[in-house]
Amino acid sequence: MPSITTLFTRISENLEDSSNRFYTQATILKSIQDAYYLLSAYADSKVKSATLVWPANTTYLNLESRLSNFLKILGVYYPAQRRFLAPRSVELLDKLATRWEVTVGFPYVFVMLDHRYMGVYQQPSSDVTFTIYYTEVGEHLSDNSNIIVSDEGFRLLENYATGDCLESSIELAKASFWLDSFFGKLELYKESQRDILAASIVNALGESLGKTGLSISTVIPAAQSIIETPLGTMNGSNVTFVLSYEPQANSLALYLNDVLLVLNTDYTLSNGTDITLSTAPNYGEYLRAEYTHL
Amino acid sequence: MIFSSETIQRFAEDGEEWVARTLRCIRQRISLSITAGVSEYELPSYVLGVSRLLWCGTKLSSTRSASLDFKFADLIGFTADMQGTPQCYFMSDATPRTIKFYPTPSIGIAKATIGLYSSEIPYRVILDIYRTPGTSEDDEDTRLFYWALPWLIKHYVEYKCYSQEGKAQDLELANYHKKQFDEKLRLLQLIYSDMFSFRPKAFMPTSPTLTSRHREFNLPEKYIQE
Repeated sequence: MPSITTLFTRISENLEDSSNRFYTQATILKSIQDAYYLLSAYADSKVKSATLVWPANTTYLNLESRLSNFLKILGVYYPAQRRFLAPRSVELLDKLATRWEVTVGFPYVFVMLDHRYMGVYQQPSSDVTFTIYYTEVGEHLSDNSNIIVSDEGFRLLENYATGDCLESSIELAKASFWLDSFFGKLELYKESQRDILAASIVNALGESLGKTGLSISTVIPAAQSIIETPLGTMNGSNVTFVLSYEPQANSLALYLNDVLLVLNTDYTLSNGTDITLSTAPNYGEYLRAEYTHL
Repeated sequence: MIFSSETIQRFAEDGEEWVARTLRCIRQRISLSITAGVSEYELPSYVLGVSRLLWCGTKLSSTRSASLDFKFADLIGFTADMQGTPQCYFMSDATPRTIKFYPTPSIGIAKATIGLYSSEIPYRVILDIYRTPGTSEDDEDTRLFYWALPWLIKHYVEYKCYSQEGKAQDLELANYHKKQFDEKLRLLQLIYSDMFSFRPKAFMPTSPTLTSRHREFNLPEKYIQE
């Protein structure tokens, strides 16, 4: 991995100022910092995971204050239930349940209220632990920092910082040469990071399983999530309704008028897809099923 | 120095506000103090818009219709002076910082400054707002992303400085920085929208429950150590 000292040297050479007469090390470092912030934020080049204890009866937590350099969520794993929480938008949850922020129960959905606050639906009644996968923005750099980027990323930092220094000296034609090179390769770099990102997670999962050569599909089978109104008549007498797919084990959440129904108390599930309610819903009431299926 | 530090500071603040207005990326949660019998409330001047409103934990719907009185009159026999628990709120384009509740609140509710993301949700009237940037003394939550300010706002400042009439005016330089600002603002917009897209989905399917295959593998509770 090339060091920041190498980067200083290369940029000074690009600027034809090896003795740092016109461009001080502090000036170059500032340009490298700008490049590092921009590159890491745009290309998802820094992936992390962390264990987060979610306190009981809590809807939101500020991830920015809990995870240093936090940028954005990739996924939330719920180890006790061996499942990932489903990502949803606040708008969708608002449509499904107007009081979702104060609903206590089994957490199976996460949302980002804004870029800092992550919410879960439903809020747990006791403390639970999640594993959060997220990306970081580049950290604050100093003269002897270690910059962890690929060789290609390193070249991009060099291009941007060189162009940025030249721009500050109003050498705009030369600056454009270096900056165009940076922006021209940025999208390609982001794509390459995405592949590396997926591969690194799969490798890590494989190591924990004691397996090698796993593909994404063998580690995490592609489940589909669905929210639907089960098929059946609301007339005050009918109690049978049918789902479109067979839910995966423990994944079904059934609601009547936004109130969660309890399996084997308020309803039963048979033949994989058949729901029988203990009380017949009336016309105008709203039945909703949320589940995953393969 | 060609430009005074006051000029640079002023343009830096203008630039930050421009970005906040364009991307609507500074969000905050505030609460309202409600007085029984009063339907209209003035929001603080930093509010650019309201994305959601919770009345004691219940999300109220918004309407842009100016004929709300008639709408309610038709539907539920609503009258303008009717009081009760508000069912929706109204904000006009003409008065974007005035919020009006329907029906008029029949009870008073005090505002809170803490616990708006947790314990106070069931007891307060909470607004999720888009806002202009706070000052440097304000809470960091009210500022633009610290990691974007250095590479973005400098172009806005230089664009504005070199556009000014006077000896230092240089329209070529101004245009160069305007182009850089627009390009980088577009990048920030992409970064910001990506924060809510939960990619890459290749390894994070929408809602998987780990099935029998994983139980065969005797999957440990914690997959990856920090």
